[in-house]
Amino acid sequence: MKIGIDVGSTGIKIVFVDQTRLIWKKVVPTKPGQSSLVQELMNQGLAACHAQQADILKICVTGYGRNLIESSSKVVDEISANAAGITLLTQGKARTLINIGGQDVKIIKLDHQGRVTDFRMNDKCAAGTGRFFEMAANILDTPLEEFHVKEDVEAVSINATCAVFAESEIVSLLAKGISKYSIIKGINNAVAKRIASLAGSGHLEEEIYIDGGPARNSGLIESLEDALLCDIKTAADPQFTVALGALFAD
Amino acid sequence: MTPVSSRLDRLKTRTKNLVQTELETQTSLIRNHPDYSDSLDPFIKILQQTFFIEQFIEQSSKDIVFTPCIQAPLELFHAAGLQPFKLACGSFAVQNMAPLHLPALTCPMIRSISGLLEMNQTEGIPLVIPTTCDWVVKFSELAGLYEKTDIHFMELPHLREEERSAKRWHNEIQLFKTWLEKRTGQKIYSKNLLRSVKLYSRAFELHDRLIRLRRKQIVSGLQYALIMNAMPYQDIEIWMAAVETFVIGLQDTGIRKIPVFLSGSPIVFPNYKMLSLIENAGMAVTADDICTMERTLQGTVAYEDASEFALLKALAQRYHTACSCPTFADNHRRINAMVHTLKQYEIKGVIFHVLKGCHPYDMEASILEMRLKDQGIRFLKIETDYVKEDEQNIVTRLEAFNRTLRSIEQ
Repeated sequence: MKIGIDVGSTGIKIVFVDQTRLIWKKVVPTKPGQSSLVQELMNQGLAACHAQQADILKICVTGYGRNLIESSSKVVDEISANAAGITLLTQGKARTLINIGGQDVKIIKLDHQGRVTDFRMNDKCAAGTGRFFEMAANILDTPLEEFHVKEDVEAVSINATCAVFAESEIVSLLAKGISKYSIIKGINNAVAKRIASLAGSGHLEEEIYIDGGPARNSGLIESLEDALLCDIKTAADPQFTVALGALFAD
Repeated sequence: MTPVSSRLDRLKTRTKNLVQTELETQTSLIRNHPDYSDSLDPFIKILQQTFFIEQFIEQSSKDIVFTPCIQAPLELFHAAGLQPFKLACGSFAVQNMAPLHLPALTCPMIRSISGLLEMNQTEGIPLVIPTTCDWVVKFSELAGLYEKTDIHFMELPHLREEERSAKRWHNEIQLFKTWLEKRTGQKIYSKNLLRSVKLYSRAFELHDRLIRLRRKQIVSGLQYALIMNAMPYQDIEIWMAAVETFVIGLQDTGIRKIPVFLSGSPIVFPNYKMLSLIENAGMAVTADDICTMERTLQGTVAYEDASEFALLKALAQRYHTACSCPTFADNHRRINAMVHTLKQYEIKGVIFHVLKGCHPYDMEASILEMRLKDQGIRFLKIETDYVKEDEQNIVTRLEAFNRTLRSIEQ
C-alpha cells in the first residue's frame, strides 16, 4: 500500500493506493500543524483500510507544504505530480491539463509519455483560484457544486483581476438586487477569461482535462470551453489527481 | 505634534538599522554558501559600502558620479578621473525610505534607489541619466533631485540599427565628455582617453576569461553576480586585481547541474533570491544577458585610430549598437545573441526574470518566448517583486522546469 499526500494551500488531500487502484481518499482544510494533521489522516486511512503501519510501502508528498512532512519517502513538485496523476487517470490521453488550485492556476502541456513539455502558472495571487471561488461561495451562500447556471441566465460583468476588489463588487451587486445566478455566471466567465489569458496565444492541444477543487464547478467548465473554444473533460476525483500523481512522478 | 524633520530622522535611523540587518543576513547567507571563498570578500565589502554613501565618499579617492544605467561609457569617467557609482539597489528594506508619492506599481529597483538616496546625504552628487526606460527617465524628477543636483541626461536613441541614431548618440557622447570636463575643470585629452579604452579592453579580456569559467560551471552564478555587481563602484584596476586573485584561487568541484540562461530585469546585491532559488532547484545559471551582470562589460571598444573623434565614435558604437537593453525598438540582435549562446553552450532553458513594474522586460517576454520555443528552447517567465513571500510559488515552477530540462537530456 502506498500513500500520496498533497499538502495544498487550502486543503490537504490524501490517497491510499493499492498498485494503481485508489482504495481510500480524504480532503481536509489546511490548518496550522500540518505535520500532525497529516499523521492523523494517515491513521484514519489505515483504520479505514484495516491496515497497519508496516503495510505502508512508501509515502510521497507534494504541494506547498511538501517539505513540512517528515515521514515522506519522496517529495515532488506539484506540477510534475499533477502531470503523472492525469496521465495515469487518462491512460496517457491527456495532452493539456488545467489545474485550479487553492491559490494558483496551472496550465500543463504533456507529451504522449506524460512528460511535462511546457507549463504556465500564475504569480502569487488569489484571483481566479480556488480561494476566489471559496470567497464567492461564502458571500453567495451557495456551494461550488451549485455554481452551474441555466443557459438563459444573463451574466453580469465581474472584475476577477483582484480577489479583494471582486469581493466588494459581488457584495455591491447583491445590494443592487442583481440575481445571484447572474453573479455566479459572471464569476465563472471572469475566471474563465483569466485562465484563457494565462494560456496566452499558444495552441492548447486536445485532449484537455481540468482538475483541482473548482473542477467540480460545471458552470466554470462551460465558460472555459467558450473562452478557449475547445472541449474540456473533468478528471475523475479532480481534487485528488495531484496526491495520486505524487506516487507515480519519476 | 512631532515635527516632520524629527519623524524623518526617526524613519532614517530605523531604515538604516533595517538595511544593516538585511545586509548582515544576506551576506551571512552568501558567506555560508558552499561556493564562497575569501577571495570574494573585497567584492562584498564594496557592495556593503554602497549603502552608506557618506562613508563611501569619504573612503573614495575620486569624486563620484551617479548613473543608473550602463550606457554612459565607463572609459570616459575613468579618463576624467571620476568614479562612477551605479544607482542600482537590491535592498528590500531601503524601500521604506522611498517617497510616498511614487506610483503604487513602481519598479522595485527604482523604489529602492529612491529610498537609498533619501536615506543618505547625497545633495550635490552629480547624476548622469541615459534615457533608457520610463522609470529611469522620470525617477530623478519623482525623487526631487532636480533642485538638489546637477543632472546630465544622455538622450538615448531607441533605434539601434539606424545611421541617424548612431550620429545622434555620437553627439551625446561628445556632450557627455564636455559635461565631465566642465565638472572637473580638466580637459580629457585623447591620450588619456586612449589609456582608459585600453585599460577597459584588458578588463573585458579578463571578463571573457571569467565567463568561460562560468560556462563550465567552475564559477557559479552567485560568485559571478557578486563580482559583476561590484565592478561599477571601484577603480577598474583594483577590481581587476581582485578578479585575478579570485580566479587563481578557483577550484573545480566537479559538480555539474542543468545549465540555464537567465534573462530579464536586473539582479542586484543583496537580492540574490532568483539565483539562490534556481540553484536550490538543481540548476546552474551559466549565462545571462542582464545589465548588472554579463552586459556590464559586453564587448570591447573597436577604434579606427587614436584621434578624439575616432575614440568617441568607437565608444558610441560600443555603448549603443552593442547594447541589448529592452528599451530599444529594434532588438532582434538581442534574441539572436541569446540563441547563439544557447546553442554554443548547449543550454536548453531560459529563465526570464521580470520585476513587477519593469515594463520593457515584461513586454519583451512574450516575443522572446515565441522565438525561443521555435528553436526548441524551454522558457519560463517568473514575475516577482522585492519580497520573500512568493518564494514557494517560484520554487514549484523552478523544480518543474528543471524536470522538463532533465527529460530533454534523457
